Amino acid sequence: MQEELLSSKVDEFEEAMKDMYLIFKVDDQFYGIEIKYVIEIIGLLPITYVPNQEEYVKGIINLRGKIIPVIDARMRLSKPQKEYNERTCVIVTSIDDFLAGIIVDHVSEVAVINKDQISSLPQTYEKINERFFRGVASLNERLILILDCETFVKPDRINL
Amino acid sequence: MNEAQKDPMFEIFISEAKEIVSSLERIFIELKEGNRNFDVAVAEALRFFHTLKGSSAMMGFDDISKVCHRVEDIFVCMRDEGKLPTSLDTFILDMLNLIDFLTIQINRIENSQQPQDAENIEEVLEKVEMSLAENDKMQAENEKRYHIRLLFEEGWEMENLRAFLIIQNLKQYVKVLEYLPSDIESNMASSEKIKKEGFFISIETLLKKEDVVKLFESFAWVRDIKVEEVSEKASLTKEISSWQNAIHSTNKLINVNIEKVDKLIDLIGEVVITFSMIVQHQEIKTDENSSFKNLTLQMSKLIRELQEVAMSMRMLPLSSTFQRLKRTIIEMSAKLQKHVDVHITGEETELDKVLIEHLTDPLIHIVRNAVDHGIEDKEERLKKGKGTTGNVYISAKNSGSEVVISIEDDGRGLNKEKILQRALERGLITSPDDIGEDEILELIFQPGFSTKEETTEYSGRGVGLDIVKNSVQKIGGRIFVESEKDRGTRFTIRIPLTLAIIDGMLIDVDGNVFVVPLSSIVETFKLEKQQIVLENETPFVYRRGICFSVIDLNKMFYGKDMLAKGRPFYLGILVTNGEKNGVLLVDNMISQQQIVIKTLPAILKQVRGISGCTLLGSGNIAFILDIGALLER
Amino acid sequence: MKKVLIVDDAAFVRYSLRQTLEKYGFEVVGEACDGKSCIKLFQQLHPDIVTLDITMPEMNGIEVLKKIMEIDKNAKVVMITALGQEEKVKEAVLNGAKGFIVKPYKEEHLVKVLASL
Repeated sequence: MQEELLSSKVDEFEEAMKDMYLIFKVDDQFYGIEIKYVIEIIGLLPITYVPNQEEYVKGIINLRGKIIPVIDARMRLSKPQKEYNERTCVIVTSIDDFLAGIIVDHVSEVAVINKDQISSLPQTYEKINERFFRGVASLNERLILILDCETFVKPDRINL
Repeated sequence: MNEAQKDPMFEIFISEAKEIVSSLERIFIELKEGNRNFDVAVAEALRFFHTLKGSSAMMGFDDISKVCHRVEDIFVCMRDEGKLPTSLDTFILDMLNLIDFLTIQINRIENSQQPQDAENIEEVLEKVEMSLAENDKMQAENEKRYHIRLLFEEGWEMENLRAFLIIQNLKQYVKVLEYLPSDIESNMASSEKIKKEGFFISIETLLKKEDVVKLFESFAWVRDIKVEEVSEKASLTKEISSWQNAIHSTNKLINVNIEKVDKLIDLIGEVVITFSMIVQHQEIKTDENSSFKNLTLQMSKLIRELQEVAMSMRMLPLSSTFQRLKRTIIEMSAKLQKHVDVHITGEETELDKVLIEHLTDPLIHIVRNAVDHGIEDKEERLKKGKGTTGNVYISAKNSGSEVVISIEDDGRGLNKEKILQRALERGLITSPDDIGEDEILELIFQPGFSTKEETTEYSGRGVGLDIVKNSVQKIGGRIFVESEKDRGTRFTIRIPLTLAIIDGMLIDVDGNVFVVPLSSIVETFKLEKQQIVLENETPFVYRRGICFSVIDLNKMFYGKDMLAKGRPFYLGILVTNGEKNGVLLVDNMISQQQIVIKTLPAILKQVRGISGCTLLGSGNIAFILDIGALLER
Repeated sequence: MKKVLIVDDAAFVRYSLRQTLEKYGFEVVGEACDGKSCIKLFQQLHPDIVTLDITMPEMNGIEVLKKIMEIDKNAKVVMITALGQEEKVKEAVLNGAKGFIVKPYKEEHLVKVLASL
């Protein structure tokens, strides 16, 4: 009976989180990822470069004893790399028990975006990165590109 | 009016008797309407009948007292032995009948009339008695005996009283025959016994096994319920010893919560890191011969031992898993009418219990593929000039900080062309040029790859190699496949040990810190630039007349030519993997210390030459060199 | 939502029990600091469960338990006890207590026991 109690609480919790997105910025574009993937947001930690990885995989960091890989969102979106500054942060995500950090310029807010607010990507929009996005939403007069977290974080060679 | 009636006792008797009868009537009517609990009604009615029996006997009214006596017996039977009438409604009617009889009798006595003949009511009572006996017999025939073993969760305290609570509760639903330990009420020490061996109960009930199990589910501290139906004569004390023997027979095992072991292992890892930091602290002067140095060596040894013991708690040999694989192969080959020999090596290799659990299904799948798709049938093998009996080699060994498991068959091998074709069809690649030779085989790990022709009764659909790869990655491992047409296929799975601490040499390569496992170091020496000879762009060095290849780590990992630095000398570390040797070219040695091996995140591409990483006391990450792979070139 | 009546003479114990129970979705309908007010509140509020401290001044836990069982023989009372009070716990079990928690208690244990009643 206690399992019912606890698991219904988990369901409730997940329900509440369903349409919430973390909004972050790269250059002038806003992106959103589902809160359910986000573990925490931290400032930039020293990155240890790992040889032989894709360009956007910047390396690994030591997060309180856990070693997790970090990818540069900008480079993942095939944009030229820019220098990191004090506003740069890392969004730590968890996908299928794997942790990975996403380096972004700036995290702006957490917002509720309902399914019906998300429309499909216009044909001409950022073709090369098409596969990363579920759609686009409008929030407070800003265009938010909704990310498919798994496809974005996992390297393309895994699970095509 | 006669003498008896004038007697004040008589008045009291009559009035009391009337009250009793009216109370009894109320009880049974409420029972009929469902507003009264049966057991409570029985107990109350019993009291009334008993009182009436006594007072009527005292007054000499035997008819009433005899009847009340008989009813009292019936009710005592119901209360103490839990016997029930076959039909509640009939019973209530009978009781109301009885009450009518008593009412009439009392009225007659009051009016000095002849008492009513009790024969009818005696018949009614006999009917009730029979129905109780009948019901009892029916129940006894359907009643089952169960032996139950309960295991309690850790940390709840006062386990003997919790067991006591369970028994109290249980008595309401079933007949409790015995329980062990039996002194739970009086002896606090019985808690220890319960914690170690569990709480055993023997009961008799009509309930089915599932319902018996349900009885215990409402106790939050019970973590394991074992219920066994036993024969009528089974004795709990005898059963217990055989139950316990089953537990004890495997080398005095105790149940330890796996989280506790994990915590222990984590803590030991931290002890190692902290100890390294202490030993390297600037504030400590270390003469080579000082007693402090001896103490630190001793401490290192102790930590090492601690680590080994902690790790061994979770480790189990792979033998039972391998035996299971062997059985699978034997069964399959019999069904498919192929001859297959199974060769197992290294089954005593140990692996973490949880990792073994995660690996079992993937290994079975690989083995099934080997027999089903890999090994050809007799004719085909003969045509190819192979022996009619196919071979499957299953092996496990320790290599560095990993356990390496491989499953190899000498069958037809994987068909690269077919794989390419399938990948093109599936749209996994757009053209054959997209993919390198050695990456073709990796395609079989993509989801949905198994072709229709390949799915047979055994390989099945949906349990593809992608799931196998996922399972391996989930436990931090890596899986590789090698294959040659008509020669065979080999799957290799490398799994890092949960916690490995090795002695390592920290080295500096252009500002990057690496760890060289101490066990692979032969010697270190100063290497002057002139000593390095280039042959076809590959650097070599002569040392004591032997030529060793030089491994430029900087170039290998960072693409920077170490030699181009133009330093007059470098540090050379002669390393070996047991067979081959080579010289590592580094800038500096930093220190020697124990390091805790951590795996690189599975999501990263494998880096040849790096087997893992470690956290230094400073919080920086250093890579651990895979000497075997480096020398393999 | 199960209704719980918390009975303990120590205010901080009542507070911490309330915190835990409310966190896990129980409704704390009342608090009592001694036997008398417990009985009164029990009769007034008809809680589903009562958490009852075994040692209280004046009317001790066992007496309160007995009184509660007299009022409602199906009452669900969970005793809050501490190590060393085994005799009292036994008495409570014999008198109809449906469970007991040993202080210092784990939140998880408290919740599991109350959830199972």
